[in-house]
Amino acid sequence: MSNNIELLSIPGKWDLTYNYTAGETISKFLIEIRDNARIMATKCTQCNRVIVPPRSYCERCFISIKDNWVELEPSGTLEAYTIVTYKFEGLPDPPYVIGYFRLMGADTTIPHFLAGLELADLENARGKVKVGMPVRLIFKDKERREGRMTDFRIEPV
Amino acid sequence: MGRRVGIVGTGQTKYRSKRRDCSAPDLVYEATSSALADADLNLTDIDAIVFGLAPEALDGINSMDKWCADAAGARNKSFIRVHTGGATGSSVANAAVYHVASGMFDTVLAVAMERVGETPDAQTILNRIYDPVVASDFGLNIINHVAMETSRGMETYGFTEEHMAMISVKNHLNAFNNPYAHLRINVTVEDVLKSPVVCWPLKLLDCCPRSDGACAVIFASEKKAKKMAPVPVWVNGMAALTDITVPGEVRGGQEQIRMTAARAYQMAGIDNPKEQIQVVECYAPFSSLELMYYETLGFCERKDVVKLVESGFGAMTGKVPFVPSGGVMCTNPIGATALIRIAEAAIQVMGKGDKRQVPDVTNALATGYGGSPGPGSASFVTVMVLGKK
Repeated sequence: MSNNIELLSIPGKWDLTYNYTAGETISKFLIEIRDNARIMATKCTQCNRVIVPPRSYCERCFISIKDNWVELEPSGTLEAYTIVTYKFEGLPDPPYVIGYFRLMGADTTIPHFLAGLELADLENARGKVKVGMPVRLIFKDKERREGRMTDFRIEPV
Repeated sequence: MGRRVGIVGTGQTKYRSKRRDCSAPDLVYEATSSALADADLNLTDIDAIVFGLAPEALDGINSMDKWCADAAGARNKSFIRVHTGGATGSSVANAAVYHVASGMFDTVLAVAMERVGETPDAQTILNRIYDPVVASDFGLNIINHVAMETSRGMETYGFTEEHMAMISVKNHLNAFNNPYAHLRINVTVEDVLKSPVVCWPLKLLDCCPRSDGACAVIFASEKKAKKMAPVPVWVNGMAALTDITVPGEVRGGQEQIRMTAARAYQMAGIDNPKEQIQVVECYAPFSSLELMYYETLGFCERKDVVKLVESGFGAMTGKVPFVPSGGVMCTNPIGATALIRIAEAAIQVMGKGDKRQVPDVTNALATGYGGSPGPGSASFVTVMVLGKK
């Protein structure tokens, strides 16, 4: 492909600042987590699906559901997981377990870390994680909550 | 579906982790000029261009379609860019078919490119495709997302890490027959199983590389295609769908592929894929995804997936070879990858596959998959049935 020509390149870097807007529905969801340690979902008034993180609309029935809130129990099941052992640039230091969790009463899942596992021995850790295993949410103390998904952790029951 | 549409030529660059000899437009020119040469056409024969490029941050240049337009031959012609993540390439092909089927244009060039080699870690960028407010705290990216689909798949399909390794071995072997392929390495089941775990259950050799490259395919109306090509390849069926279903929800990602295939098969008159389709170029950047295609594309029932893998159903010597090119596991210039599936399927129907040619191909299948069904993201699924008749 090359004809013995010295092939040059120059370094570059994208370093951009943003301020991501949560909007009314997600703001309410995060404020309920921060102020009341409660997980609130929206429920479609037509198909009855319970959606969390909440959406202001049901994408299937295509109606607004922004005022139809329900509270969920701080427990659920692990639906899918992976044990991350590779260091991705700019992402958390491994090892860690990421999962999709279905909270009791919800029709959707949320991503989160599966906390509370000893990960030093991965073979051993793998044996302790199962699709369908029950989990619970444990909220940080009120003064440490900041209105983010990391205001709670998820652990095996 | 409007006017009948045929493929009259394909062009590909050589794929490498970094094509240091080429600027981005050079890559697009290489693929475009190869496709024109393959079809024995001049740029004056092309009426419109559809261009594909996935997330800009992979390349580190915003709206690179503008930089590459002239290299795609777009001067004084209609030019649009299409972007559906990993399905960009097949969405570009679909858009080109719509151009011709509508009657607006007779001959349309689809070209897609990516240089994933410009940045040291594509997964850092792919972490930013999710909802920044509720999802970005957890290090999500495409590899760990697919690892999660795989952990579910192991339970629902009953396949093991060994079965995944068998797919990896087959595809790496196939890549030796493809002069364009990026990874050409000998791999054994043991090598795969012993390769470093990236996101369990995915190990390094279950995963695709990051590639630089471009691919082009020329589509023409029936009348033109019959004049232009000795063996025009007919687009007999195509379908695309989008969903936001997240793993763990009812009707997950695998069901979406099943629905898309069913729609494309209906259009193409395929009711028994195992007997009617001779070769499949599926979009599987990870070994576990190919396993699940055996079922979702209708080649077997879920309970028989493991049996099919063990019997070598998808090997070059098997009943229906899957990815004779080595597939996405050996070459992944993201925005171009799904167009490569269509180019490779067309090459099989044309009989131009040389060492990777499957005998007696009358129908070939190509799929595309983009996005990731997580919070703030959506998945894009495409299926195209190409035929000699």
